[in-house]
Amino acid sequence: MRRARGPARVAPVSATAPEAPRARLGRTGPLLLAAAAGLLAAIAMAFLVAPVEVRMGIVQKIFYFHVPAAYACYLSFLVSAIGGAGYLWKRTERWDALVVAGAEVGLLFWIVVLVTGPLWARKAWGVWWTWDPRLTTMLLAGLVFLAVVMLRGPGIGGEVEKRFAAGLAVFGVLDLPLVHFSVQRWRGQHPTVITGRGGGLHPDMTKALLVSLLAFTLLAALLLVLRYRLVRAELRLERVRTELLLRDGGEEEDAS
Amino acid sequence: MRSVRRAGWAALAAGLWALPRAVAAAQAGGQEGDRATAFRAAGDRPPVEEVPGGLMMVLAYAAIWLLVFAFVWRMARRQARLERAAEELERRLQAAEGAGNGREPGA
Repeated sequence: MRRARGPARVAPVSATAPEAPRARLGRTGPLLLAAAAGLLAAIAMAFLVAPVEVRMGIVQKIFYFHVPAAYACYLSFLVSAIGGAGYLWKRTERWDALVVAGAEVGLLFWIVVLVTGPLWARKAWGVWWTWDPRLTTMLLAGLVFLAVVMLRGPGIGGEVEKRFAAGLAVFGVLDLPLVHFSVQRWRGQHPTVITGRGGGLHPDMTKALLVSLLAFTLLAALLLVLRYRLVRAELRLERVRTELLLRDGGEEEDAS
Repeated sequence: MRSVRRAGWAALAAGLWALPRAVAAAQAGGQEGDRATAFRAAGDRPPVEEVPGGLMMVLAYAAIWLLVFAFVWRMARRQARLERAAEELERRLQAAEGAGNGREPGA
């Protein structure tokens, strides 16, 4: 007979309070510098190296941040889904923290995509929004992970919320291949300059895009690490607080 | 009966495999621009809407930086709140340990 799974396994609480999480910039310092340098290089490449596009003009420069932001969004949502799968399997704080960190950072880049895209679309298509397959599936993906974040915040959330959020993160990542292949499978207005057959980009545009992709990967990695650490610290603090409450409650009973 | 059931499952699997391909094939083909996207009077110049591309680009880049910094600022606030909560916990633990020392037997 299978044993029913209990609540998430947590490490025993130490007698001392958790060390106040001072900014441990030392460890993320190199990553921070690399991300900053990458972003500066991406801006330089986008404006100094990549040529202006013949039909769209200067507004096409949004491309060098819009596409990498979408890619960083996919990456972060994938991290959240991996955390979700890990939490459903192992039920440890580490995986739970990964769910939250991945979802929040992914939502940040999702908002970037949904803000920069319509600004570009207004000029290129004459409309702010259209129910194009890619736009619609991207919106759907973000809404799923928004639900994950809402389930896990602003408080820490109970065991049920954690499991539901983990499952939702795994479910939400299934939408990402739909987002990517939607333009090829279904007719839509969204450009398809980057396909499996190669990109329809000028070589200098390709270089600028690659630098920007690298910069956004570093930025996403940095934000994921920072957010993950913060979530772990919050979870640990909550655990200590609960232990203290139980201890205080026990001592009061003994005293009486 | 079992063979009928197996044939049914096989037919369902084949249908699930074929359906999206059929839909995709029906939507494939056609070149961009086959559909009319504007109605123009013969002999008239089409109305040109002046949407400032440069302004849109600047707004897009500004939005990116604002969003990223807002996220970082929010994390910094949460970190500060965490530090205050950790300090408060330390005080309470020290108080609890002090009270515990006072109750030790033989003290």
